Amino acid sequence: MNFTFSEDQEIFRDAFKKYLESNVTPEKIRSGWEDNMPFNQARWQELQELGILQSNLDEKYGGLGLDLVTSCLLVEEMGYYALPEPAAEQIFLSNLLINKSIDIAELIEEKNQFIGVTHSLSPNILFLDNSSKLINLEEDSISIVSSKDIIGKKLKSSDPSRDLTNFISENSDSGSLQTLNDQKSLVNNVVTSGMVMSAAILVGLSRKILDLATAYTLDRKQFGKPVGSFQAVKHMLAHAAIEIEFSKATLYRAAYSLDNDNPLQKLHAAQAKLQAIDACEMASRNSMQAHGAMGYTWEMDLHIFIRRGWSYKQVWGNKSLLENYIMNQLEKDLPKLGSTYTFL
Amino acid sequence: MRLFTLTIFLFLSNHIISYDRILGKDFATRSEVIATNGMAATSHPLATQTALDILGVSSELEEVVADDVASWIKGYMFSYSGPIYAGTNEIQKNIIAERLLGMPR
Repeated sequence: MNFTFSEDQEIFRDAFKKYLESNVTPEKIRSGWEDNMPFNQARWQELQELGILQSNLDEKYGGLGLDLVTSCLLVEEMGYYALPEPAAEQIFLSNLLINKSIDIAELIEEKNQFIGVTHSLSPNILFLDNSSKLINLEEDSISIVSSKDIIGKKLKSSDPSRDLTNFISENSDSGSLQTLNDQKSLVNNVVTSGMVMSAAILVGLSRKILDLATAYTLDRKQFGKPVGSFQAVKHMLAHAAIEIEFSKATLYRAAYSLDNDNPLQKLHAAQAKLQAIDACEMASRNSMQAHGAMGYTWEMDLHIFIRRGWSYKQVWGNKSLLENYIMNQLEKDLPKLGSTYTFL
Repeated sequence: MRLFTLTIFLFLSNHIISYDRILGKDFATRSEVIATNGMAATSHPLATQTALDILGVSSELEEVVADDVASWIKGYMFSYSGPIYAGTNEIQKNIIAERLLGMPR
């Protein structure tokens, strides 16, 4: 059994990383904030041309048909560079819906445009103005509506990269609304996918937040040496590094389970997200502490990533929901835990 | 009899207080640094974190969207500063170790 990533997966990730490194810099993110347009249409087009947005879309719809573990690596990098465009949502939510349901695939003609997905775990609509359609998931039904028929109120998130709209009503005259019933298992699948997606983003963010702190503590001098040479600072960052390593293992496992329709996929996803939340909390707090008061300023880039973490910690399953879910599963005696069952 | 009750009460209350000093857990109500600045600094983050966890998906909003939802994100942001300003937690711990416990500098 080989648990390492294949060469192809790593090449694809590294190529994408290179693109993000030069095209999604903190300066570019900030200029999007200043123009009040975090969604950059040109960048969305580039992601399109790179094949990122269709990476896991079925080949019959013009995608690359890659597995979700590879997508997970890409989304982790999106988190690392705090990509403002909702490419992660496109891959893990709308592409998944198109792949799994022929009815939805037929209703969505423009598969390269952003399609928003809402659910009670993520009720605010992301980038309404930049999306063509909105898919709303209820407990066992799915409704699809054209974005321009939605009447909503803009909301102000603490993360300026998130353009949120509060759903008020839909313009029913145009009759663009389509509803599919009896979709409980698909809805469940998308919720699981949302957990894995947000976990991947959180892991990427945590890595970046820790990298920023490590660089800063080596640079900043106090008492004649870098503050990173003091044990109190070293231990703080080492704790965060350990949490992040643990969250990677659970994350890739959850992505693998999701891709292979493992009956325990939701439990694995919940574990991954819970661990990612812990990692991100630890990384955020400790990096801020290691930065001293400097991290608190607008000029330092740290807050770009920390704010994003605050949002993704709550959407698609927050801590108390995940803990409840895991506890219920343990009580049901469903999951077989322990080393004997790890590789089943 | 009254003295006896009082003794029992004191014994019990001591017992409760010692339970109150569980450290490093989410439910810990006392912080591990029992100095004026350090204590406030570690309780505030826990309190605001709890508020955000209760608010869930609305917690990231900087405005009040419904009557039953408050905005806590600014308070949460502020909680990041407590462990830093007027001497970081690490400085407070150094002071406690060196001045109270007499450990070498």
